[in-house]
Amino acid sequence: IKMLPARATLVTCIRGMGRRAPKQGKPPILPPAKKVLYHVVHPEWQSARDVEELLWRRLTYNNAMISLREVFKQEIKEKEHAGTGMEHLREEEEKELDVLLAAAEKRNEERKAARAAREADELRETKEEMLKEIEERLEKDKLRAEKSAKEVREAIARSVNFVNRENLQESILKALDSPTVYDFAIDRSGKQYMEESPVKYLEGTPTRQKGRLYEKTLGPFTAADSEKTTVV
Amino acid sequence: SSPGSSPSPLSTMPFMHGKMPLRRTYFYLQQGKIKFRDNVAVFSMGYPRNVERVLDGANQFVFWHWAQLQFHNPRVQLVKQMDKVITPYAKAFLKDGREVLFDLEGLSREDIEKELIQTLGKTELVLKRESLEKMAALNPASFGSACKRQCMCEIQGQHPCTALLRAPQVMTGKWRWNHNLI
Repeated sequence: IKMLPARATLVTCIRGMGRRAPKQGKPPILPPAKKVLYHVVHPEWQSARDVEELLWRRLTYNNAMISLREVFKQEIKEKEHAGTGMEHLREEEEKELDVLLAAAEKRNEERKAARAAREADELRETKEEMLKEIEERLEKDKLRAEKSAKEVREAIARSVNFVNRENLQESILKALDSPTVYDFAIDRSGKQYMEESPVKYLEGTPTRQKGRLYEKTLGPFTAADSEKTTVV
Repeated sequence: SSPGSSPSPLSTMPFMHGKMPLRRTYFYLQQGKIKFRDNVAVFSMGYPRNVERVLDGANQFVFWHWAQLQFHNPRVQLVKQMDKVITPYAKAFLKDGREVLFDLEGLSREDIEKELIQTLGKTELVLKRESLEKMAALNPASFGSACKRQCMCEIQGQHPCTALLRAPQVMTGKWRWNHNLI
């Protein structure tokens, strides 16, 4: 029993590298070769039983393939009609996507509303804060203005006694007439003994100088003074 | 600099230290969960980069999952728009012309991932349909670069591969036709 030749194969050729499959036989423009002209093919002898068997096998196989193809086509058709076919699956997919996109849109709307409310609150709070700040600033400015005005008024009040060009001569004479004495002595109890103010015009004859001018006779030392005295 | 990275003392080859190389390993890329539907053509995301940790969800998502997203969706164009908006968003452009907007403000990395899978990811229905299509397209008799059998020579009953064994001269074109033209 011989196998089917390679040319009779039913396989589809998938050419990954893109080369075209060559056409069968000679290009039609060419005449047949001299060798094949009048060439009669004498096939090998095969017994009738083998031939019948091979024929039966071939026919059975082909019938089986055709039947199977028909069965599968019917199945696909039935599924399409019943709604479980490929097209229906695609349609269901589209519907599912529409539902999901609608849900996403709804979520977006909710978030938008929440964000708008949140931003409105934040804006209101910010405005309140700003107004508060402005109020505080104004208060501060007002206090500062009042303080400055008071100081200016005091300065103006003080300036009444200021010495200027008009009363300069008068002020000098006045100052000379009433000198301030800063000189003083101090004892260990903290009691200050101020120097007497100088006399403008000496009256009478001054007494004989008995001691040094800067020497002072201190007052009586009492018990209270002893308590206050700091021992150095 | 990438978010959450500590300053590295080594300045040469900074992409070979820390989290960076892990995010490009084959194993890590395969762990990606987001597989878009065939309908998605472009996916763009706009987000600010220098924000507080609490609002960093979009930035974290891009940092950890962008490469995985491209790995699992090689036909989808991914676009990043950094520091152009205050509130992060994502927009998907479908092949039928529709646009899908995602508001990502306040969402964490995990939430963003979950939302994308839920809306544009492949559902069970899609996966079922794809597996059926694959089965229908599969022909065990095929041979070629995308099939189990690479060459005609692997099929029983055929001639051996001419890459390994030269075909008899009678089968060559130059012998059969046109001796002088080929």
